[in-house]
Amino acid sequence: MDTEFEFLRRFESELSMRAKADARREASPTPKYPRRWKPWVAVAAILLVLAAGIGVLANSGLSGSQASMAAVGAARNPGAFVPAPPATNQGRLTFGSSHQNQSVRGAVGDLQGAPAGVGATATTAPNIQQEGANGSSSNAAPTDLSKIIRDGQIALTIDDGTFKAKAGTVAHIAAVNGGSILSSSTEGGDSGSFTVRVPAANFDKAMFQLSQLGTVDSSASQGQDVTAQYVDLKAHMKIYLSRRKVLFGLMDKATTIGQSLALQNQLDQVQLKIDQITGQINYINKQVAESTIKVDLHEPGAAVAESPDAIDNPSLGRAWDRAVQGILNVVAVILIGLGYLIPLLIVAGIVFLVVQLVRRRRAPADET
Amino acid sequence: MDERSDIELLLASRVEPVAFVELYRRHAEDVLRYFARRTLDPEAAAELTAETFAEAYASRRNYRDTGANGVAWLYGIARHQLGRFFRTGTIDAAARRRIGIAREALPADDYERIEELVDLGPIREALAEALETLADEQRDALRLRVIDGLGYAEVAERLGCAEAAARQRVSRGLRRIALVLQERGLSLATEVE
Repeated sequence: MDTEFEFLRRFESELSMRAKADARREASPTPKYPRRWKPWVAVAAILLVLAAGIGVLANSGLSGSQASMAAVGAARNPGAFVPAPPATNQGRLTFGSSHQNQSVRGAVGDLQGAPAGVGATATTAPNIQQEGANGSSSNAAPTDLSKIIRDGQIALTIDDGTFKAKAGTVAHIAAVNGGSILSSSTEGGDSGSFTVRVPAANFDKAMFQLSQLGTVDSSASQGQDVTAQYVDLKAHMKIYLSRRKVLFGLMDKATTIGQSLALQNQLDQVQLKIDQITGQINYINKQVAESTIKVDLHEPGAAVAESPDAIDNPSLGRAWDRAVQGILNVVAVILIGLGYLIPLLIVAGIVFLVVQLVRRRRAPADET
Repeated sequence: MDERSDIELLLASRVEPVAFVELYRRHAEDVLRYFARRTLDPEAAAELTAETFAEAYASRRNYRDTGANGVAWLYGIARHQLGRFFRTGTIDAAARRRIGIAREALPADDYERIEELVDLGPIREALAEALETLADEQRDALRLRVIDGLGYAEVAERLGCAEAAARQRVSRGLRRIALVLQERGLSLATEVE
């Protein structure tokens, strides 16, 4: 460069070196990502990790407080089953948890398992089984339309040599509560499993009586809320009944064989739907009206009988569900973390800007 | 000697980075003069020139041929740098860092050569007023250097300080005056690019 300024010549030399280096780099394969993005990717990754960390901490803090609240509830109401957080988000609620070597005293927590007051709709569908576990709910003042299927499990250690007697007592408890033993299996004469069905209204009572048979190893009760499904079925039923009524009216007015046949065809389809929905409603009512309790009895040292249901076969569907759940959990944790992090970043940004502003204002003043 | 036009050089520099060096050779002194006449400060003018060309090199792929002279794009960057300098009183070295060129001190000889680029005639009166706003040591150094026309060695001798310190006082004083004149809306340069 033809200039008298030395610094311009030096800069030209450096610029030229840089340009030649870039030319060489351009000749070789380009990297997948430009270098200038790397710091931003790193910052984003750090922020995500930070957010996840905060989210995990916040989550564990939340769980801790929930657990302590449950513990407080248990302390205030000894003997009651402590409500645990929902196990899934599909309307299934879990009540109670394992009680190692601890007798369960008192009644099971309050849950409406025997609904009432659906007589009005029952009259529109004569095939539907009369609702309410005791058949006396039509006069009940508060109308509770919730439909919750309740199930329970209890495992007990009984005294040596008492298995046969206790098995008889299980059958007796089922009978006095208006239920029966659905299935049973024994192993070696000192342990066995029983599936007991009792009216939902007597579920708590039966659970309590069963818990008195020995030392409770574990106990749990679940409530599956099927109210939404039940309400849907009821709504569909109403539509199909009114459609059937209309078709009956049209049948009366049909003048030709062709019209009658077409209407009959439609009527058959509607009736089929009504029968299907009636079956489903009856099934829900039956499930709601009766509860299932799985009872495991075993003498000390006996091999515990394992029911076929207890065998946990691997399932791809379940694995997929768990994988999706895992992804959602991670996203949720990061979102929670960002909720904490973003306000902090905003405050830090404001502080940084203020500091920069002050420094810039001071800079010219310092030079004088 | 490259016969290509400025626009052609800029466009070619996307895939042929060395073409940008030719553009630098053509316009570096003009850009330096542009800054010297506006900042009155040799150090600031040199820094701003280097930063402008570094920024232009780093963003040469963003240049679009809109039909205007390619130099207009270069002076657009220069104006941006100058505006930031007047706003903040500081010169950024971000573009130089980005392309890996180190910041260097201005050689002593270049100080005086850059000062020669500054035409103080049109602003001499305003300059005298602006001098009053300076700190004593900067004002004394400036008077000896700009008004009395002494060399840095003599300025240093009169002030009883090192030559480098005298140069710095003059430089900072000029920078301060440029800021003051800019705030008063006085034009420091007569040429229009």
